[in-house]
This record gives sequence, structure tokens and C-alpha cells, in this order.
Amino acid sequence: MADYASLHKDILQEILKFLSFADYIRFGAVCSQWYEVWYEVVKEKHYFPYLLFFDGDFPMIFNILENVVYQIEISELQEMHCVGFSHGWLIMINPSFDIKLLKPFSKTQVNLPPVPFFWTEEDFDILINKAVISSDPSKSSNYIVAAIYHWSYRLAFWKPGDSESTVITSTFILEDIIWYNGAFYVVGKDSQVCRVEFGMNIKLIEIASQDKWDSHRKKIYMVDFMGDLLLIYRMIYPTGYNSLKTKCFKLFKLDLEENQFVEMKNINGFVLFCFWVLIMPC
Amino acid sequence: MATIITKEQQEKEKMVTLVSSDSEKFVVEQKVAEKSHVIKMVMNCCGIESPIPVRRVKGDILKSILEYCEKHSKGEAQEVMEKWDKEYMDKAEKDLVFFHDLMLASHFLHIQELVDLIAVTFAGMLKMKSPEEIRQKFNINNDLTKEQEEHIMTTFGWAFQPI
Repeated sequence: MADYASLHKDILQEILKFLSFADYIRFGAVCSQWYEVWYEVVKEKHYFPYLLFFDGDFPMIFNILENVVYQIEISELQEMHCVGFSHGWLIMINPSFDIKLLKPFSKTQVNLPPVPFFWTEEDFDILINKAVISSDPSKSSNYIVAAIYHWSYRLAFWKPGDSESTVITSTFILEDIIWYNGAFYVVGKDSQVCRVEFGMNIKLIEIASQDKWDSHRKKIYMVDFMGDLLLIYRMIYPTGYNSLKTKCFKLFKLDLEENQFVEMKNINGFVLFCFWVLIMPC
Repeated sequence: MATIITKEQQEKEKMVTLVSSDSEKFVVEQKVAEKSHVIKMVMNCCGIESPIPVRRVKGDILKSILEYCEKHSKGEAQEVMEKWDKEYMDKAEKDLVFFHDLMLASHFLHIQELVDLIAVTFAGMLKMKSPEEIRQKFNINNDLTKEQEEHIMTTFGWAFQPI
């Protein structure tokens, strides 16, 4: 009889190359020989990313290659609010402004010192819309936390050593923020793209804008696509109270030399992920 | 009168004899046998005059492997090859004993293309299957320790309940 349980390690590793992340986990639960191989590889391989989203309070993950939704348990999220994803870490914050970074599968955690955001009485319960970190805090203490908050009008910056965060108020609604090529960039509701300049005062320097899609209801995301700064326009329309549907996506590459938007018709077979993305294994 | 022998004809004449573990003999072109990295190395150091024993591989498996190598030494169009590979694997995966031995042999003989093809096919057989379904299909005993099982279930429990 063929002995599949004791297949050689090298052969099992060849098979692992072609499994999706979820298939790969189930593979590890078959028998102890398979588990041993699984255990060795689990830390090294990079898998096709999962999209993380919330169904009510329940975190769910989805991978378009498998077309299956899984509910995952992140007990650490119970008292925390998820505000971003940077460098493989979920960024979470609680009402006392403690920031915690978490890798949702390995459950590795890093506690950052409380970020002293600037809050007034009335915006105490207003949540952060989006947070990003300039570099991996588990590797270096030279990082900056940036967050969009207060109805998307304020930007806060904080780095280790600061006693309080530096806050600026924008004149327009901020849609997204990204750390790209050594600087923070933000995009406003009307497509204003600004670079954040740190000096005596923090300033938003507008570098490009376009008014093409103004009348459309949309969400704008920024993505670093193989070294290019892309703006993703997700055209949406309401389908009822509190529910939206996506109509289509428009893509623009930001030409930073000419300070203009260049529409992209395709991305050559690549897949872009915006907002909540989990990079496996983490 | 001089006879002109083309390079192709010259190559064609280079035949090598391979002997399986159950003493079955196969005479194939050198370029076919060369698909196996291991046999290629043996041919390079020992020549092709005397038969080469392939001790760990039985006749039926070696026959099938040589069929694969022959097809893959012809340089046919990609679509033709993909179709042929698919049929080859469809047949192989029907008999799990044969499939297992084919997997070991392709690995032992170091035919990377075939190793990959078999691994993809095997991965396909595991797709969306629970560990129990996999154990049943491949006749595997669950010998996981409590710690191993707990480790997987606490860290990756979600993967066992697709919605």
C-alpha cells in the first residue's frame, strides 16, 4: 500500500508550494509527518493576501483565489478599534489611546506608548478613520504614527519621544493617507493630493489635483504599486439606508515630476488591494 | 563516397539502455534519458555503452516516466504539452499506489518538471478538503499529538470552518 503519511519532507514541501493558505493549514492537521513539514515552512512563505473585513463585530477574511469566507477570531480586538494596516501589522487603538500592533494569525503583539492625540471634549468618542506607520516599529524605534481623525478633517502625527502629537486641521475632508517614498501623502475628497512637510509647522503642500470625478460619489485610496503612487477611485452608489455598492474602479498613476494624474487602463494582470489587507503569514 | 550525417541523425543514434529494479530493460534516446538529472549525471561520468541500472524504480513506473520524458524532449507547442500533461495526470491520479510511486520516482530521478506537475496535481486533490477527508482518501492515520493538534486549532481554527 502506498504510504502517503511518510512521504519525504522534500516531496511534501514541493506540494506546499501549490496550496492556498487555508488548504495549507488543513494540510498541517492531517498527520504528524505532514505537521512537521508544515511547521517548518509556516514562517517563511508568502501567500496570496486575504482581505479582512468586518461583518458587524466579526472579523472575516476572504481570498479571491479560494472564493471562500472565513470568520477569524481576534480576541485582542474586543476592546480595541481597528484603524489601519501597515508593514504586516494591524493597528488597533482603545479609548485610552493605547496603540497596539497585532499580527492576527501568529498573535504577535507590540504595544506602542499611548499616542497623545489632540482631543477636545466633544470629539472624545470620535474614532480614528485611518492610521499608518512609516516603518516597522518591531525593527526600529525611528517611526512616525499618522492618523486621520475628527470627521476626517484632522491629521495627527506622533513619533517616539514626543510628549504630545502634532495636529493639523485640513480645510477639506481627507480620504486616505499613505507613507510613500519617504514622505506621507494624503488625498482629499476632491482629489487634492498633498505631501506632508515637516518643518517648524507641519504643512500640506498640494502637488496635484483633478476635478474630473467630482460629481460622482466615490472613495479614494492610495496604493504603492511597484514604486508608483496610485490613486484608486471606487465609484459607489447607495442601494438603501447605510448600504453602498461599488459601480466601478478608476485608476490613476500620480506623475510626481509633472504633478499630474495619468489614467491607467490596466495593471497588467496584477491585483491591487486597498485598505484592509492581510499579508500571510502574519 | 562521403556520407553526410546531419547532427540530428547523429543524436538519434545515441541510444541508452536503462534497467528497472525488476530487471525490465528500456532502450531510449539519450536526450530522453537526459530529462532525468540523475541519469544525465550517470551518463556523463560512465558513458552510455553499458546499461544503466535504475535500482529504486520498478518497470511500470519507469515505463511511464520515460513516456513523459520522450514527450517532453520533442519541443512541441505549449498547448499540446499542457493537454498531454493533463491527460497523463488524469490517468495517474486514478491509481493512488501508482501515483505515489510515480511521485517518489520523479523525485528520485530528479525530473523537476514532472515533480512540479505531480505536486500541482496533488495540491489539487487537497483543495478545500478537511484533514479527515484527506486521511480517508490517502489512507493516513491521525497520529497528531495533542499539542500539535491544539497548536493548529488555536492559531488557525478559522481554516476548518469555511462559511
